[in-house]
Amino acid sequence: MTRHLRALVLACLSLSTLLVCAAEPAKPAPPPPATVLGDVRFERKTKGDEEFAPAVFPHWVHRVKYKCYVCHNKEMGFGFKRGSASITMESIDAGKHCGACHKGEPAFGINFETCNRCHRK
Amino acid sequence: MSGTNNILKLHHPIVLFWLLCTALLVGCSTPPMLVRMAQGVRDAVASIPPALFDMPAPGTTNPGDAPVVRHPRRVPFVDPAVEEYKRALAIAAEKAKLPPPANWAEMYQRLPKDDDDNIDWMAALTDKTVTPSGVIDAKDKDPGKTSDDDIELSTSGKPKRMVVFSHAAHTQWLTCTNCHNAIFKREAGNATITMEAIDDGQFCGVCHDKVALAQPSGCKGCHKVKAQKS
Repeated sequence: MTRHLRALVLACLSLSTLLVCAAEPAKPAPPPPATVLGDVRFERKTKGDEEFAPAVFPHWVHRVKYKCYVCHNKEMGFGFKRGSASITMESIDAGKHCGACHKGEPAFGINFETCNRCHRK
Repeated sequence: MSGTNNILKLHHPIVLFWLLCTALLVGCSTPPMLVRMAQGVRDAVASIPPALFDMPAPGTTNPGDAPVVRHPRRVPFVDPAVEEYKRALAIAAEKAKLPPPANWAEMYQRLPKDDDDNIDWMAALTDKTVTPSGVIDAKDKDPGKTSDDDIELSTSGKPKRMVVFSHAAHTQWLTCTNCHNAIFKREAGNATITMEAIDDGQFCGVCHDKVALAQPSGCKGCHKVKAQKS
């Protein structure tokens, strides 16, 4: 008799723990650190009328999807040295440099809604 | 004359001895006698106290006539490289079950980190957390080339550990033209690579400590191979 009772209590306990665990929503992942090794900050050479945050290139995000030589080649014009390619919004719009991918497909396009995805403090 | 006569007599000691020897030789050569002698040897061996033979260790039971269990004489060889590979495979299989990351924060959390909490990209490749593509458009042909050459960098001083450059590790990310010939000449031994030059951003320092880190971090990341004493 006591054995059955004990089994019943155990079953209830485990069921309740399971329910609690299932009810708790999955925690969202903490945001990645502000700077990850390899981030490249392109200091603006020309400053417009309004001060605009320089673009930050997160190397790690791109390394997840692509190997180095996808961008670091002659056609793309990215050297290994920071500033070896003079990237302008005009060149991006013309489909060069970042614009090779950032044109809607495969990566987000350049428009007034996406400015702050690169130009961030 | 009389001496010769004496030897021929039957009771002469020499004749008696010769008779005895012959009798013994003949007697011992007969099969029943040989069998008896062998039995005698066996009896003698059996009479040696058993303590002089292999005995079960004190405290253990005598196995008696039970079949002898023979353990392998050598410890089975466990290759650490194979074990490492198996572990990586298991992690990769575990990772393959996970749904694709919902956002970049989750992706960052999944990436394996080194002891300095930086991303360990080689580990990420090994456990298949990342499968970077070599082309933008999946239809294009991957221009990347791989090589398995290991290059031992010769040293001028007497370091405790040598650097062995692994092409196999580097060509998982890069292709030949990324380094050759702008950073390194194709022929080994053309560059005088010093730690000062690397810190200055030349040679290995073009990428390392900027976007790439060797694991384990610190000197041992590259200075791995123990130099042979000469």
